[in-house]
Amino acid sequence: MNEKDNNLEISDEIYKKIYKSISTQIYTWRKIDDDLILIDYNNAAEEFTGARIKDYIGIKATELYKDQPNILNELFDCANTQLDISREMEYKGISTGEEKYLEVIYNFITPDLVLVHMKDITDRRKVEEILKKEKQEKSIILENILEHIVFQTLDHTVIYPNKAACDSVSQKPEQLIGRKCHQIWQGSDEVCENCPVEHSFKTKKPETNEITTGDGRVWFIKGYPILDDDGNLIGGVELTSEITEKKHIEVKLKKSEKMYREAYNSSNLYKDLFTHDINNIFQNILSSIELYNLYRKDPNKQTELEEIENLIVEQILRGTMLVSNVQNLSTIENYDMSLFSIEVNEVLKKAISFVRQSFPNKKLNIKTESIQNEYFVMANELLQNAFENLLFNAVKHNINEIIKIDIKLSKDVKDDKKIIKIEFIDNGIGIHDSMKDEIFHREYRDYLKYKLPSGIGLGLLFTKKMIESFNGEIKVEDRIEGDYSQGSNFIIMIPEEK
Amino acid sequence: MATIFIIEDDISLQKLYDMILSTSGHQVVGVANNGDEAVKIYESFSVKPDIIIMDHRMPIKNGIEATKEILKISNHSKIIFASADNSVKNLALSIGAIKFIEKPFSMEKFLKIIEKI
Repeated sequence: MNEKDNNLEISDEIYKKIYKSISTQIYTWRKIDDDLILIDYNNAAEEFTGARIKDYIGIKATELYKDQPNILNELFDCANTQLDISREMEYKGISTGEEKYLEVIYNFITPDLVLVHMKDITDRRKVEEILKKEKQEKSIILENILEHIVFQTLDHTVIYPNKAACDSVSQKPEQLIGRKCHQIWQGSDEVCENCPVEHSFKTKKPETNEITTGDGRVWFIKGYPILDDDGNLIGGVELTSEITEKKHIEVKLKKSEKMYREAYNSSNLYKDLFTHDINNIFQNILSSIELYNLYRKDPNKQTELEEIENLIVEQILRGTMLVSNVQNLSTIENYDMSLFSIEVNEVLKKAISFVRQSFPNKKLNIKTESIQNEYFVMANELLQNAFENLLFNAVKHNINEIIKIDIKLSKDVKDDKKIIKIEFIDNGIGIHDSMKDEIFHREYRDYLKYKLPSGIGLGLLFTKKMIESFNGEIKVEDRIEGDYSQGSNFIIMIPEEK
Repeated sequence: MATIFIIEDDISLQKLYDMILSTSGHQVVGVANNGDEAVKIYESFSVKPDIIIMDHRMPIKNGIEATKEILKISNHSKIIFASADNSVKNLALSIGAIKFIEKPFSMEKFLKIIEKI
């Protein structure tokens, strides 16, 4: 044996060692006549088959794989076409009966050998199947979720839109992928102002925003940055949910809360004003009765006794007005009052008559000045109560012996609308300048801050609310400009009936 | 007998207080319809009254504001709050009122308080 042959012999041995020790199973088939015969295998194959493979040396492929035509066909394909074949397959071991996943490569070796490499990929396949299942589950969640989910690149190119996102613009995924997010949903070539995804790219933190689209729908958008393992920004996720209904409910809730708060405030206000006024009335009556008992047997106190009697009657009337005002306020706030045509002079006559009867011992000089006989406004029966309140206050808060009240009726125009103006001009104690602008223009919650004379609060509040329900307004001026102490002029303006 | 200054916006009550106090031998030296008027009248007194009967809820200036201003003029002023507004009781006493009497009250109780002072 020369050196060259010796080297070849060593190479053959090395080859065999390599063949035997290679970690992939290798089965060597030789083509003989019309069949393939198993002629060799390596250690990995021996191990895989539990050493049973040795029993199959010399077996024909047609016999070994008579029940596995796929393998048989592939073996013959490789042998006949002399081309390599590669595939993955599910395989039930003939010798062990175990079900395995194998990666199989058929190599044709000239002139007549087929080497079958088999790699056990059972574990890998199992992991892949688990991952596939997880992916499917995630996909089911993503596709069925109501929120729009859009994966996008740093320039806002859509790379994945979920079903909800596609449905929002009636498009298929393939129609959206590759297009810019802002082009699809805003029809703009520019990135949206305050885009939370864009913002999240800058902050590298989740960001949110609320937007209203042209169709009036309101959306809540969350933008999440996507970072790689090294913390580099690689894209973003936009998660959008429609909150139009929620917003509508919030508005309704706020409205309801406001109404509740107003009702609560007004209830507290009425309670406070009522309690205060009724206690003052009780004080008047209690002191009157006590004084009456003290004076009644004294013949020199007859004038005082008469005065006290009148005072008790006045206080009872004041209490009646108070109760009536609380009831009327409740009526105004709880019911839609219908308006109808009313002649103001007629209502005034009734109110004046009521006040005259209420103060039989007071010297009342009430005059009505009216150019026309009739003035019609759209109001209702509560107009009389409003007039009675103003007249009652004018009498009650007056220290003159002769109480003067001039009532003037006239027509006027305000804000291009025809109005009826009713002025109640008295010589009472007046309303200080610091209170004039405030008494009719504050909210309920501020009403208690008013420093109104005792007993005037609920009556004025009712009158204001009443006149407003007739689409009118009320204000107060000095009877003599610049000197509030000379009396007041309460001016009511109500739209004239058309 | 005490000299008394009445600060009360209810005209009927002004009259009744006057009758009660006069009948009991006290002298009503002044009446004010509101806190603002009260401070002005109080300032004008050459001899300050012994006792002030003070309402709270009044026009222009309320009882608390008027009390503060009157006590600035004379911190010896003896102010009795007579109000239907019990919510200001603690405040009234804390700023210097010597007594708070809640309406409605009896004549007897009213006079006893004045006599004690």
